[in-house]
Amino acid sequence: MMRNTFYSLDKLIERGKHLAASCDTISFDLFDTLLIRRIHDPDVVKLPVARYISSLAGHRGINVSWQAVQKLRNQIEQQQRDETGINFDDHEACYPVFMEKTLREIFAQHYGDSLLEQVTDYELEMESRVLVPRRQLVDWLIELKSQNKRLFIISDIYLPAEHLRILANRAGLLDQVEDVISSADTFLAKASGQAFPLIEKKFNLSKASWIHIGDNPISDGLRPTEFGIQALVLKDGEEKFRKALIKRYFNYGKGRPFYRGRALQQLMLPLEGENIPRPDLYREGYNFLGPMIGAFVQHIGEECRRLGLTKLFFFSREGYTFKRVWEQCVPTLFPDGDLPEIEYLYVSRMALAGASCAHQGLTSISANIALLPPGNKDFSDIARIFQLDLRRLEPYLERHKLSSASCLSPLHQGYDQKYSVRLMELLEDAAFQNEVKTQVSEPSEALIAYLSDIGFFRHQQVGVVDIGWLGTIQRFLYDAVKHRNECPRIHGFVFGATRGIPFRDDLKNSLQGLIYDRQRFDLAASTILYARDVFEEACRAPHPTLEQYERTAEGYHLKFRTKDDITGMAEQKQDEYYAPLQQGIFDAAKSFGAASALLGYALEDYRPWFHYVLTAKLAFPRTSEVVDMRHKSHLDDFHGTNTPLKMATGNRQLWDYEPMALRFLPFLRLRLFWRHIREVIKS
Amino acid sequence: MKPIRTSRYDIAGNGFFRVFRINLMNIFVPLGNFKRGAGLKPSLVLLFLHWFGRPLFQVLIRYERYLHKLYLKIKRHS
Repeated sequence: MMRNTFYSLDKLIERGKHLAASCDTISFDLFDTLLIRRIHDPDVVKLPVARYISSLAGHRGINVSWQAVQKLRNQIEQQQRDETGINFDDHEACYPVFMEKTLREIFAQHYGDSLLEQVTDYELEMESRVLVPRRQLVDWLIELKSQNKRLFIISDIYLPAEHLRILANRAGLLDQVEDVISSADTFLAKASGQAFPLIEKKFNLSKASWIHIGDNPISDGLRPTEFGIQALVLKDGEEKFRKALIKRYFNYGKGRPFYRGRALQQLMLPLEGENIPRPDLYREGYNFLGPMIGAFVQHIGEECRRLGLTKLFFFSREGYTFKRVWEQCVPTLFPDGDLPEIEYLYVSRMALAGASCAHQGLTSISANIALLPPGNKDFSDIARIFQLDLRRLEPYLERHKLSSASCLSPLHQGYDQKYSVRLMELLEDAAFQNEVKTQVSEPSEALIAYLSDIGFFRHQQVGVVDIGWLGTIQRFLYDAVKHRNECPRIHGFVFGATRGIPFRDDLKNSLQGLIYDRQRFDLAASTILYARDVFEEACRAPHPTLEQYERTAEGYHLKFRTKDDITGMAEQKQDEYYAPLQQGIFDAAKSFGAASALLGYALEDYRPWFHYVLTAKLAFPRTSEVVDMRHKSHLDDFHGTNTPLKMATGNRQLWDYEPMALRFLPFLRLRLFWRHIREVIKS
Repeated sequence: MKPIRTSRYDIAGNGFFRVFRINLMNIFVPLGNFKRGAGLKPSLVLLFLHWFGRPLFQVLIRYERYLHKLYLKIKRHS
């Protein structure tokens, strides 16, 4: 019998097909043959399991580090291998045996029957997340099955066949094979060659018409050949190349934080049949926005644990995307649970604005927020945003020598400082404020009914998640509920906090920007300001924005914006355009969960890499990236329709330039980046 | 329509050459805090691997056994 070594999969399959024509039985090695691992070292998969055991122990009041868990597991596994070596040629171990012993040692009297099952489920989940079926071999396997060949999977590993069947099933291999055999069940392995006679006898096979395929020259080559089986050994240079890269990214990351994020993305990359052509926007979603949003959500999870939050609300339309990302990656990142309940909260700036005035009236900060967008100019814009009846307010305006058309924004022609002074006087007018409060009492009651219905007031501390930027929604929400005794402590987590109008943190309300926060000097992260709308549109929920809370006999009704008008249709068009981008983000979330759990890193570890990504993609983008990612239309009900003075709108931003200018203007990106540096330092 | 991963096992649209270029630029223009950045030696190793790793490993894999012995010998003496 001959043993063949192949240096490419194509040639191995070609030879295998030739031999299979005269054979009945074909057995395959599982790991590194039918399935490849995303990571270079299979032992890395054990580390998240050690972290999981450590946190489970922590819940039971046992203080043990994950490093200690890992050390103990290795010791007990080695001990079992040594014991097996006394009676068998192979020094094999069996996962359920040594893991149970490990858990019993750690948990002592706290050990329960379900613990081993829980840990095993997570280990298998992690294993299957890092395993990818080899497309060409699977195709051949299917072909062999259709030819009625007897197919087997044989593996030398500590996982018993029962566990291997789960992994093979998740990889779509189980239906193709007759059985899966593991050395962990019998301690007779391929390495000594004793597995082959056992399998021959058990399944009544003929070694003369049996081919074995694997990657190990001894276990899968020499031993079966000695037994009389034809063996094909794969030595794959391509796999060595791939693993050499991930190994270096992984190892460099230990010493240089910059590579931690890059290692994460290398692990997230699709392999084999997963790597199919995708639209350009999908690629940006998967490679650019996905990992960043994943790390954002992971950090929120860690903060929720640190602060002991019992409820987390994802709100505004961007929160919808964050919630979906949370659902995709958090179960893998935090397998022990211990996380708050999550819920989507239907809110919007427009819907909350009115309700925020019901108890404190219209404040100068609220008026300033309304006048901040360049499209807003006068009191009619304020009345539109806060859903006030302008007709009923006119007597008060007249009393302070104002009209609905008096220009209150310095960005517009006709502005005079005296109007701002008069506005402040108006806001101090108690009669005016009473009228405002009367007008907004209904939406306020409806909001309270809605919040009570979803259990907002049942928690002492809640987290709220949004994209940013001023934290207006959280501010309005807090203003609307802070007078109530049962108002919970609100912790706000936003993707980027630009704080154009200072956010007043108090004992019951705080806000932090996780990727960018203006309170921290962070030049690279501040490049978010180049294209805020891209982030906003990319994360936008498919449903229309909430327009108003309406009081009804039953309690409340959520009134959404219509989709039929020009703006609604433009928004729908934009949503359709960004659909591949969003899909990329959601698909990246799944890969992010497994990759990040494997690496054991957090947002702070990934931050240097994200700084690079933000700088490269936003401040120094390729023209094609700007053209692809630039939004086609951006709906914002908050913005009015007035045209500001040209000078007041500020300088043109990089992402507003035409493709020709982006492509050919010399040093455009560098010039604009210098300007950005100056602006960041000054602000 | 392009795959997410390039044939060099690099990130499509954000390849390592771009990483190298931006890190190099960070020496002359303050781009932000990259926490010591990519470093020259790791960058060159990774650039080389991404570009020439495939043919290199196709050759090396044939002499894996000998190379492994050599590696162990070097490790023993170092």
